Amino acid sequence: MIIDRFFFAPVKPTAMALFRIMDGLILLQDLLFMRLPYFSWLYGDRPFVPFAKIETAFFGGLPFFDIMRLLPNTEAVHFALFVLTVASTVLMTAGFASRLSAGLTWVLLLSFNNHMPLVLNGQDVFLCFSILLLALSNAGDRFSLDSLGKRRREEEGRVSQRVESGERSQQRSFAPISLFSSPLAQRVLQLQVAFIYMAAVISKLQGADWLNGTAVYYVLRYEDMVNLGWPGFLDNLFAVRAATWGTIAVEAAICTLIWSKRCRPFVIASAIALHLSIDLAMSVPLFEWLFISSLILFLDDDDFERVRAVICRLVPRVVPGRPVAGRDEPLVEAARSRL
Amino acid sequence: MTVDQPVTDAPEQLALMPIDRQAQPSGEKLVLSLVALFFLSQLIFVLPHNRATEMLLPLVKPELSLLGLSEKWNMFAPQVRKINLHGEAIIEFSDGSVALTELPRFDRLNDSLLRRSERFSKEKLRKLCVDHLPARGFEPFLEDMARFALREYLRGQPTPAGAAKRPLTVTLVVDWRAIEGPDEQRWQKLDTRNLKSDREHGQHHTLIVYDLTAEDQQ
Repeated sequence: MIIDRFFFAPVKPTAMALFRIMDGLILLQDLLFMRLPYFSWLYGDRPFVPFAKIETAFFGGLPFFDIMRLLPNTEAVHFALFVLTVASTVLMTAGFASRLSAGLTWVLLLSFNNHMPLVLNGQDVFLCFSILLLALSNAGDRFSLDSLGKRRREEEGRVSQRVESGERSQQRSFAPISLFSSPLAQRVLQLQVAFIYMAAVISKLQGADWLNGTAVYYVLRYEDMVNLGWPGFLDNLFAVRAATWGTIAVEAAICTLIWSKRCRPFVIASAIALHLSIDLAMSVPLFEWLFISSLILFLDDDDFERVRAVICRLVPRVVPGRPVAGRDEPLVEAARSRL
Repeated sequence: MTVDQPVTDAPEQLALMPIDRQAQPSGEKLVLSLVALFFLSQLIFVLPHNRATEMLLPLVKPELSLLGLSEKWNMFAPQVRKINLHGEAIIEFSDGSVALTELPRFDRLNDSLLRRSERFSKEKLRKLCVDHLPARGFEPFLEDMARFALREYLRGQPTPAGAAKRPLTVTLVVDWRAIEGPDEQRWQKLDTRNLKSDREHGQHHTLIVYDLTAEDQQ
């Protein structure tokens, strides 16, 4: 059944592993450059808004998780937790005890988010949720210290096995269990990304300025959000309308056409173009980069093989240069056929 | 098995792969049901409010709140902000004097690339001082904003105020200017170098007059 295959047919963890690294790097920037300079003001002994007020006026009786409620309410304790958050994020990015470090990062980040929710952007919310799914996934099975350690242990095991059995010719490896696993967490993340764009389209379609094509005119004139700005030759109504309706079209494509393998490269290319142009024109720190990173989740094993083949051709010495096309196809097909 | 080893014995290796699916079909159905429920909850949360969503919201909000998913993903939508603004605080002292202090002004960070890069670290402050300050729903936090403005003002003073000059009230004001256009006559030419303070925010709107308590004055 299609749904079964989509959620449970084993895939390689390449996409999740790359996303883990990008997520970790983005979170580190957020913690070190956007939260640390204002730590006392956000989480200190005399914060901008007392936590008791956040609890009543913001959450208003809704349940929420904040580990700081269970600990002494002092700046020193909060700072120790912050240092722990940075450390666990570094470990998650490097892929050391990946599930544990991602789980710890999620718990701590969610606590910091809930401790001062007034300063959160969409990126903070998505980042936090994606780390929860990283903790539940196999994202540490590639490009990680975990996978390096595992490979080393397997190689040592093989050597000792060969020495014990005296069979020098036995070159066969162990089962590639770590190479394939259920993509459930990745699929939920993909759906979440598509859902976010769908929600964005729904809200835009309710706005008169988005429908008449002038919304981007106003957005580009926000004095508090200027980055490099908008090229002068595009400062006309035609370009503004194209940008306004183009934004809706690209966002709609990301939540619909991205599921079609044939359309995916075009959708991803246009999504990257959209996010990069917003990032250049406006100052929306990290938001655009987080969502560009999330597009990695939509690349499948074949896409990565194609990218790898291209890199092999361009930089033969950096990437091991043996033929890669179709290398793991028997594995993938056999795994899928078992479902 | 390493990535770079040739695969010569795939079927044998795959035989060793544990696939839980066949063993636990009911577990999978449960997982899929939870996933469907999760996205349905989010859909109810982001859909335009009507009688049906109002009825269901109390059911879905708690679970989304627990997961930290309090976002509606509606950046610049449905309505776009059509003004540029900054916050200002008027502080009245017990000796009758008045001080005027501005909340951080992000429109003054357009002079150079370096100054624009300051926005990166100040984004969370911008969220508060520009996005939230005039927004509906932020009223409960305006007095905290007033206290914040006072603290920032006093921090910048060379000597602490004496008993004769105690701050009494803080008035929070939004200074704003409409973004004109986009019709041909009022089209505001986009020149990012001129998006600094030379176009003053000439309209004013008072948000709150906050009487400081003894605790605030400590």
